[in-house]
Amino acid sequence: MGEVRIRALDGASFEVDRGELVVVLGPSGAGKSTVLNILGGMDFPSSGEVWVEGKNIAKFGKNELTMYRRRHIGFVFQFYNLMPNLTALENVEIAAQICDDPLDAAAVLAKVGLRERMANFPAQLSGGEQQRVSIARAVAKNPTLLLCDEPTGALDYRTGKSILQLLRDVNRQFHKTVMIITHNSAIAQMADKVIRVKNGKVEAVERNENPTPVERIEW
Amino acid sequence: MRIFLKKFWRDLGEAKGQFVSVLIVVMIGVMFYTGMNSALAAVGGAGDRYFKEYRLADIFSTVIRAPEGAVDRVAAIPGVKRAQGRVVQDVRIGIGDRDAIVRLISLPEQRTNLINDIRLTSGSYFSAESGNQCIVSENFFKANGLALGQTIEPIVNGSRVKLKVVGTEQSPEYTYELRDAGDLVPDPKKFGLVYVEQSYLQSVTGFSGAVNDISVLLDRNGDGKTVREEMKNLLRRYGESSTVERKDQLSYSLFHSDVESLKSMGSAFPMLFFIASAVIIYITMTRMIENQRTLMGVLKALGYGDGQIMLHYETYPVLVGVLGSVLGSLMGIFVVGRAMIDLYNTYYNLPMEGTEVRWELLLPASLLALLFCVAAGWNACRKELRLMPAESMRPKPPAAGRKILLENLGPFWKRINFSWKIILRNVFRYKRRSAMASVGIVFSMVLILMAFGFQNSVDYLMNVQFQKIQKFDLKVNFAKVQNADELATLRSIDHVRLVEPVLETGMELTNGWRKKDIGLIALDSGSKLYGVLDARVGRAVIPEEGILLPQRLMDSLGIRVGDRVFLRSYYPGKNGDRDKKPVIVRGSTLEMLGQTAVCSTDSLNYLLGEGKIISAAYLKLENPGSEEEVVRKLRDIAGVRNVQSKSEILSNMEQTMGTMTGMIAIMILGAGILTFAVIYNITNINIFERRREIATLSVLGFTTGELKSLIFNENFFLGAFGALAGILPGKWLTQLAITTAATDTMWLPAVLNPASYGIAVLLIGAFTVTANLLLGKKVREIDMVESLKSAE
Repeated sequence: MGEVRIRALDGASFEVDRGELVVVLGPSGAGKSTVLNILGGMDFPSSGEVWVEGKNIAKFGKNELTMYRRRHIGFVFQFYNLMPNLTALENVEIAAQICDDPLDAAAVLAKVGLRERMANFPAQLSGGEQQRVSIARAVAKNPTLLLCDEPTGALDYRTGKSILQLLRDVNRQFHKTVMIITHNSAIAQMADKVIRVKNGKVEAVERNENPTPVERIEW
Repeated sequence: MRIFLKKFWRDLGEAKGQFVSVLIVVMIGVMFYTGMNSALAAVGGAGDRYFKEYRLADIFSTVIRAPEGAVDRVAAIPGVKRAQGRVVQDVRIGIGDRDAIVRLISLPEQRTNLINDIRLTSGSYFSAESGNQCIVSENFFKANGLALGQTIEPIVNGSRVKLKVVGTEQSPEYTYELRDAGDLVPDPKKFGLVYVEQSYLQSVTGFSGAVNDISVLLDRNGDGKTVREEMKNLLRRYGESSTVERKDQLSYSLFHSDVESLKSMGSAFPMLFFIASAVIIYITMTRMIENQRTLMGVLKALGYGDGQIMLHYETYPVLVGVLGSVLGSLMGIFVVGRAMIDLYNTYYNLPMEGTEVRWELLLPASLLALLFCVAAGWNACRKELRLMPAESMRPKPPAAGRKILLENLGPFWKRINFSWKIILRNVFRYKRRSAMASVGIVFSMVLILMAFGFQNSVDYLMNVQFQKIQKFDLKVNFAKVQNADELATLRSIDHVRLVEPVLETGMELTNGWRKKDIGLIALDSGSKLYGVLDARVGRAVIPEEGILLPQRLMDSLGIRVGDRVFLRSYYPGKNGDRDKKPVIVRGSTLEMLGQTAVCSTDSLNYLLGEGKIISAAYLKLENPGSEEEVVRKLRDIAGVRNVQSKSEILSNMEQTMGTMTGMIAIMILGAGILTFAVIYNITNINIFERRREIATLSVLGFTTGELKSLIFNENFFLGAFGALAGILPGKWLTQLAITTAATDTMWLPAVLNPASYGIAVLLIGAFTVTANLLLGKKVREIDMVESLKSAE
């Protein structure tokens, strides 16, 4: 239980333990997106197995995948993808309402530092703030796995770092497994485990015994 | 540019549904406009051509007996081109076990340049071999199952005359085969025309060397009014009883008022239809092009000029406009136009030619449709092209978040779930967009209501006419005016419960300098079998003396209740100027068919000086089962011209109403198709514009069902909103369209049943559901990966 095992792309596999912060690293076109799509329940592998919480999601049908996304995955998008018509709080609530065991939306927003901005609409928030809402939205679902697709990709250096710090905090405080997909190798330093993807293969899986605190990462 | 064309075709291939639905809107607009209008033009045009080609007389005069020489003297009146004398006589005829009336009309031996010529539809004109040949009107021929070569035996002056049927005809003089204005609708079983060779008819009717009907064609400078007066003077000594200009001739005036009412009914609808399509085209086109914003930025960044980009994006509107207009015109002429002409053909005896391409209708409609498409494209392009490429390549700035007014209703807002919050915010935040989406539905609602309105109004008219006005079971028409005492005979018949006297006659009404020929009906003051309605469809009381006039007639002649007007009858010997009688207008009535004044039988003596006279009687039976028996007995009574049963009048009436019902059906169908296309378009664009949002929610774990409800509930909301918003304008425009459709002889009360509103709303709902079902696939097909891409 708790292991997430992937046989990605052409035979390479990896495992992720519950509570780990994992960085999937690779240049564009390396196959990161495929990892993301399959783990996120947005695509099927053509063959192989993907075990999440004791279930092989590779065998799931469309409806099962929907339920899988709903219950197990919290997704953080590169471009935040907030509903422009909902306030920060409502954006979190809309995800939480469909889950079985969601966290309190307002509490999670307060945790990500947006206590004062809950009633604001996305257009009234900065990029970093929008990404915080996006993270809060993912966390509030109380998922097994938080999947973050280039979470700092659209942000400036400083804001990016604060978002990474937030992801680390979420990982620690909520005991959530966090997977960050990125091409930015600097980010790898903060990870408990780094999965290097290249040319459609998992090139290496490295365990990082002493992750660098986020504030010390530079790029 | 070739690469642009390639891109264009591929874009098209990807959005076939969208293309087809926009195309359909253009097509429908053009189709209904050209189809309905060309059919109406065809009817009017065919009528006019027909009247001209067969030389329908300009003036018709009826006398008791005039020597043939009088015809020459009429021909000598200045302004008269030619005059022709005829013998016209209505006689009884037995066909099988039924009785009918035929009008014998004489035609010269040689058929050259006849006034009131006939159009042979089968057989031939009289041959020289014998005089006892006849040509029968086609409707009568068919209704009575006659055959060419058969002998018919009308009873002329008490003896049977054998006539061999050599041909069938249609005649412009009897586009409606009505015996007189008293008959509301033609009944080809009971009345028909039989044309007989002149000298033969003269001899069997005792009119040798004489005629009783003179028709006149005017020359180019002839003035109808003056010639009519001269003819009246000239023919007075021969017992002139009526001289009318063509415009007042029964069949001609009925035809014209019919075409007029069809036209006024038919013109508002296609016009509105066209406007609706144009608005919808404009909205959809604009939104479709706006959605290409980033791509336009890219093209601009690559160095393409505004003109080239514009040209590329105009390809779509131009293709839609051209293809839609061409297909719409073709279908308009060959489907809608054809269907309507066929419909009219079943009701009018018109030699209507096939479909005709009317460029004067096609061109403006097509060009306007194209213009709307191109203008929408141009407007949308211009807006986006004005931006610098860097700006337009960036996604549209996110919609500003604002709270909507509704959110102040705290408890309500807390109660509803997120999908409804999204929907309501969407609707109110993008007011313009929602309004435009609703506009399409509002138009559809208006069109559907209008179609229903016509239907309801016709039904209402029929209902009032036959439940509240004509409450009798049978109407007996007498051959001659007689004393009211004669009704005793009718009362003595078994099963007859009630008999009431009726006099129907023509009158000339004068108010100051304004004159009008009207019908007058005299009834018992307390008539139970014929209801006279006041303007509010309540019962009007028939005054002991004085008259009631139809409100519309009073309006057109500037008469008010209490005014004094003059009436002059057409009775020979009583139609001089000194016979004009002043009467007080006691009240107004509601007349839907025809315009008839009402007075009481008691005041007839004052008006006509003939005592209490009657021309017909209304009968109420004890039970409907005895109708057949009573009718048989009535027919045996001397002096009874014919017996009309209400059920027969009703079924004939319904047949006549058929043109209208058919047209209404076409309207409802058109409104339905348009509504569907509108909703399909709106939904399609909505899905396209929100595919990123949908993909995101899908990643968050929303099921397809939940996503659909999000999108489609917005449609339902807009649909419901549009339908509700369409009610008032629909009601108002329906009233306008119906009341302007009134003519001299028919006035439709604007009625919209509550149920019609319900059905219209349900229809919109049903179309929305169907469009949603069809588009559900699109929602399912949205790729979740869309959410990972940067916004475009």
